[in-house]
Amino acid sequence: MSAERTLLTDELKSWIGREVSYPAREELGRASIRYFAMALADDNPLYRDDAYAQEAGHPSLVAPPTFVVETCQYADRPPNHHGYIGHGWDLPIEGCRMIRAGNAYEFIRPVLPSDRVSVTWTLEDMVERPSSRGGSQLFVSSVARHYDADGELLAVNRETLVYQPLEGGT
Amino acid sequence: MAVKASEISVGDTFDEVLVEDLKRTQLVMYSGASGDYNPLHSDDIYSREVAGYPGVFAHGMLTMGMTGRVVTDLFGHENVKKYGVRFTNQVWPGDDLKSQAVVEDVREEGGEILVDIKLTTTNQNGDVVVMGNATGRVDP
Repeated sequence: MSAERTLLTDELKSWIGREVSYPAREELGRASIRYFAMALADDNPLYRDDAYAQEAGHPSLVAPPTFVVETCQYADRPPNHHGYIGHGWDLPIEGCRMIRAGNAYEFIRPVLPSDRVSVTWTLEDMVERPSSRGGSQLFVSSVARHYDADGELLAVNRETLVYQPLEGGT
Repeated sequence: MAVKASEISVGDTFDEVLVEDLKRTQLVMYSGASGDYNPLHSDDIYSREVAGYPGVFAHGMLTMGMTGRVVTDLFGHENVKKYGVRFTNQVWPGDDLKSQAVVEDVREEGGEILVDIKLTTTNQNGDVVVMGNATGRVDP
């Protein structure tokens, strides 16, 4: 039924090495940090209480570590037809579903509400591998480097996404 | 507060309950707070009828963020150097999640004492949803 298809076309290969940067329009701010901590149900006072955070040696309250690598708001893109606003390569891949395989973060320093963060995404590699369910799947690895307003590195996010062909007939 | 090198050894474990009965509301909160409005996580009809899933499921990054609490609780926020995960199963509304950190190594590097931990987050059925590694700096 499933005719063997090559996912990694020459056109797709030409995407390897692409880079895109998104500068934030504004500082991160205390409210967005508090909302993020709330969404994680993390009541650590470091994320909501300046005095507490200063006591712990920070200049002010700080963001949960995974916030800096997540804030799609940096992208400042118009929503796509699914309402998605974050970074995406919009790879020309038809008839596949995309699954998040893994992320690896490196944190250089805690991110503050006063930080204006920019991010540069690089599409590092694409590899087609056999799938355990038969056929093949495409692994797309990217790296996002997050910088503060002075160009100092805040964090690095290595991300692997997998594109799997959908079963026919839905 | 943050553990010290003198207080831990390889093989030590630390357990934390991340969430009980995960609510769809929390997925919506995470969508808003992270800016990740992928409808797979907020629109049940889209998730079922367009994407072919049983329904909405949690952002991988939400599970990763909740699991990250184990790391920040153990090391203290400013001491977290590396944190990586693989997503092994989806997380669904109604799930109970708990996470366990196991100390894998305590070592010195560049004048710092570093601790490597392995992280496993499981649901109420014992299925592993996230496997991860983290490295933190500790005081002697």
